[in-house]
Amino acid sequence: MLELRLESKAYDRSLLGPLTIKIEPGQRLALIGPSGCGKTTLLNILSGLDSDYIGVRYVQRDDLLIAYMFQEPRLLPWRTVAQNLVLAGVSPDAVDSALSEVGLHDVAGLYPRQLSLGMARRVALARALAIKPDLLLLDEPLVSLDPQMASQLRQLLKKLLAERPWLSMVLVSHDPVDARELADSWLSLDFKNERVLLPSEEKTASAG
Amino acid sequence: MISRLRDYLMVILVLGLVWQLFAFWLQEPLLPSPSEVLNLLWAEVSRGNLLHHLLVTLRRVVIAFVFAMLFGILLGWCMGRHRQSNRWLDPVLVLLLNLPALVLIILLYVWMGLVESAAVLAVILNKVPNVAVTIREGARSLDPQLEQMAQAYHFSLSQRVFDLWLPQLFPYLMGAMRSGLALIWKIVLVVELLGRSDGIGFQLHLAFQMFDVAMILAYSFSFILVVQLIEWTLLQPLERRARRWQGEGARCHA
Repeated sequence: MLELRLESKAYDRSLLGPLTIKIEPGQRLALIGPSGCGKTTLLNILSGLDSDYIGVRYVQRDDLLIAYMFQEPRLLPWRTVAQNLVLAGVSPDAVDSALSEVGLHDVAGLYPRQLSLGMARRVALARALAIKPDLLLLDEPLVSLDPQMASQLRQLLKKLLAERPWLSMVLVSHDPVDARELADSWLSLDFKNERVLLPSEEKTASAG
Repeated sequence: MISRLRDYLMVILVLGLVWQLFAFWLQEPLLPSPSEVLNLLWAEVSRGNLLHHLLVTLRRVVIAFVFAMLFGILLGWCMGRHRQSNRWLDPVLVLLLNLPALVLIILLYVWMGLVESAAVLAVILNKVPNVAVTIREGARSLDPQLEQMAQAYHFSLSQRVFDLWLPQLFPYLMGAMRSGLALIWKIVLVVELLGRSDGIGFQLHLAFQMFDVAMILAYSFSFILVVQLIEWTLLQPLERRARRWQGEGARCHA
């Protein structure tokens, strides 16, 4: 479905590579590694946001609808929750069901500043899922939440992913627990980038 | 709102009172009392004179304002968003910013003659660089994270304009509009004084030749009042509407 090869070790801007990522339909891949090693850059490349990254070569890239849940909720502060969803391409009729799916009720008319970080994350998740993507990119979805909130959101993510077996996902996390809970394969990045680490097919305990 | 209006009126009243006292104390024809000015203002209004010149000036202000904002926004946006265009246009902008308004007015009158188009063009050219500088600042400060979000969710051009860019540019637009209105009507008066045969500036010119201070003050106040009304009825409601998302606490008390 999507196979990406990075081979830009020689260039200035290159943080990553050489590296190969292959994503199959329904695959749940976790990118793990220390902060600053280029995990988010890799997500940006996958999403097409960082299109001028040197050395990117797609071996295969189907026409996929990609939804990106950024680390920050990135909601437009001057638009209501409902308007934010509609702007992303969610049909107005589907807003309420999209929000209730992530456990939010009566927030459609609120402005983002009236939401807590946890709620804003859920809205961002609702936005990402409601456009019915083929590939979901999650950048540290549980970071800077308190442990209880984080575990709630982790359970919610697990449930929503289980309900959508066709959906591929790439998760960026620094937390091995998240990676183990949410993904079925792992790609570990480090600063040296000398090893090409292919996603492991079997669930191993060593996620780091 | 009520208490703000009360404060406003109180300040005006105190200033008027101080002025009245000075005028009474000095007994000088070059400092007419507020009551004399108000009487003259009323006389000019009932003769229909004031309204005529006021409307002529207002028309010039509106035309110059609209075009100056339009060109200034376009220029500022291009310069803020594209490094290369900024590099090319920045010298021109600096030149225009530092060119005295008077020089531009005289040059245009010399080149185009004492015509309406020269007058309005002079005002527009004086204002465009100010708007451009403000909007360029705004265009440079757009949030790159939201930009990425809009790209990731395939925002259309109109969505980008109205839902992403305009709300972020809004404070800069308001600033440009406020300072624009104040600057433009002042330049319009100079333009009228130098080369038109109607408008407030022309009337001020006549009054100046006769040392008629009461007339000068009456005409100036009439236009200050108009600008204040525009601020109250147009700019402030617009601002309140656009800042609704920030909630009560963050509202601007301009």
